[in-house]
Amino acid sequence: MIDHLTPPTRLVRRLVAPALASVLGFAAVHLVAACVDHESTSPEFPGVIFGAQTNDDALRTLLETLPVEDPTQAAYLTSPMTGIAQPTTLPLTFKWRVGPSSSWNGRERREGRFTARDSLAGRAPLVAPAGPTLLPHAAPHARRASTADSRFPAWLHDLAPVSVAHAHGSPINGRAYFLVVTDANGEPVYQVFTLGFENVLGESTREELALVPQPLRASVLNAVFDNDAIIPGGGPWRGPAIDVTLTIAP
Amino acid sequence: MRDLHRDVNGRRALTVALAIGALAACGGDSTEPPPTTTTSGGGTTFDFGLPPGVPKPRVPADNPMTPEKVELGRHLFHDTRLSLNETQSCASCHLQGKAFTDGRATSVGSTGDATPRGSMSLANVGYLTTLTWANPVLVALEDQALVPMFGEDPVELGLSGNEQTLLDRLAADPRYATLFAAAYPDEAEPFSLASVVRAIASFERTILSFSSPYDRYAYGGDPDALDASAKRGRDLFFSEELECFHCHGGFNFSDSTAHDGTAIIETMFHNTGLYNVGGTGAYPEPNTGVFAITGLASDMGRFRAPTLRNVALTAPYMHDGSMATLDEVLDHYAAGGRNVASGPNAGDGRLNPNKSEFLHGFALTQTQRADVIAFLESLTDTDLTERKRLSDPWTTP
Repeated sequence: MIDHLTPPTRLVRRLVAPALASVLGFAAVHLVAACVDHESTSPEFPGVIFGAQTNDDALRTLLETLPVEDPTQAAYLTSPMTGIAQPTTLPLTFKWRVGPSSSWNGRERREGRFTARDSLAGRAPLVAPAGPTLLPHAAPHARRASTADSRFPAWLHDLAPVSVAHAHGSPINGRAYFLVVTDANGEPVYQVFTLGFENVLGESTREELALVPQPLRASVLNAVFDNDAIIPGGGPWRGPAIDVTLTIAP
Repeated sequence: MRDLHRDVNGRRALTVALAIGALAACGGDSTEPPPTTTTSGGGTTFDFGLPPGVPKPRVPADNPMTPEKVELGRHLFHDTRLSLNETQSCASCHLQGKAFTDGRATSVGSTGDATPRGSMSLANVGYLTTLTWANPVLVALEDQALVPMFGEDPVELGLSGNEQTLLDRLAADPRYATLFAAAYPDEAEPFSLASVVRAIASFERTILSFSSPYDRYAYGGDPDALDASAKRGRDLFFSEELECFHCHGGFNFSDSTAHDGTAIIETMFHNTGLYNVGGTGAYPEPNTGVFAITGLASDMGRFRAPTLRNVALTAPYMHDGSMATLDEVLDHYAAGGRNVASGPNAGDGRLNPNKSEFLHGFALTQTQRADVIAFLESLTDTDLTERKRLSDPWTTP
């Protein structure tokens, strides 16, 4: 993949990239029209990358709802390792999954038990609304998010043209994730709203993020949606943060 | 309830349901205190065992959930003594292994009467805003249970005029003596028709399906629960190009869904262009959809969108079982309707004047088609089909 190419090769790529973009971008967008992520043009959420099948209505709902503390429902970043320091020439992928171990196992779940506990009363206390502040993106130019299920090669994300966001597109059903990366000052520098479980940072993004105060801190907020509304008992839940330091290779 | 979805003869069935429902209400059972224990806070809650993030079904105030009532309902649901000739039970047309459908295009009653519609899945039936295929006023499981028990055209369980026979049968079984007493501890005479349907409805509210691979992926947060094909299929399913999600959206894959706390109850019915008999927009009698209830021309051919959960297990498809496979169903929607070329039902459903605006057709490659099928198959919940607490207690303790 491009992330492993030598510097001269990278230079060649940068020269031909604009030309390739017009051709490959058009073809790729049409090839994966149903799956490709897109960047929001909504002024409400500048810089937020919206994954396939997400929309700003749901994100607004997510950010306006107080998170609930429940470690079993929080999204845990499994990659990269916290505290890692790496050069921008190496690929960087954020991956996550829900819970230290999944609690979504029908065979293990309780059935028909009668308890006096009301589901709402059983919730953990609400935590302080420490939701992300939606500051402008650190890298304002075109960028595409990638997801685990995308058929869109990761290296094309830096080449393909920007598509217009469906600000009020298909409603979200199921769990959605909001990856927020902040700089050392706590300012959001990279944010992705997606239904997937990973996000690949392109090389140019890594280079831009390496320029902000390090270390970066990443966490994932998630909730369960039903037609863009968070269903009762559906969160949101905030996952623990990890630290990553990006360095510019000499 | 074998005909949770058949209400052809809608007016008659409705009349039966309402009449008997009113009878049950007059029995005074609804004024009984709920047979549950109370907490220090005065509230009680039945634990449905739902995964996090899944809302509870709605439960009527006069029929609160209790484990004892659910267990009684399970016994009744699977008991062939609920048909006059003791050959059929609710489960005869709602088989657990088929996601509580029967695998037939249309069902057959205990006396051999053919029913004109297919058996709908009972998975998550407690979330439905309306019951049966096309009856906007049949909204309570307690009322619906009476339709197959006492309906006469067609005869299903055949109990009309034999209510006391049923109750005598049940009372004669020592097992039921224990179950009814436990379910209705505060009632002097627990053996009543109202008690029967309340227990069956309570059991039906526990027929829950939220453990499919799709659930584990989309709701449980397990990135490995779906393969790549099913993920692509999900994107297609929820795309504006295919439009599937408009009628089969939400956590229950049906737009006729509500849950505990839902503020606005929607009752949705759709004409999917299956028929257009003689080019008049008509559907074949007696399956005319909501029209059979309202008599409004615009309601011709309008049916409720069933849940797609476990859809791979619930063939054949459509209200009359006229499509055998999911591939056929995709062909139908891809074409924007069905053209019946010949026979008494000839007509181009694609041109039906009442057809839903969401049916405008689409094109799928073979790979995309396989992806959509893979996604639909990922909605199969083997926990539902194997869950012991839903199984026949007369053969499985």
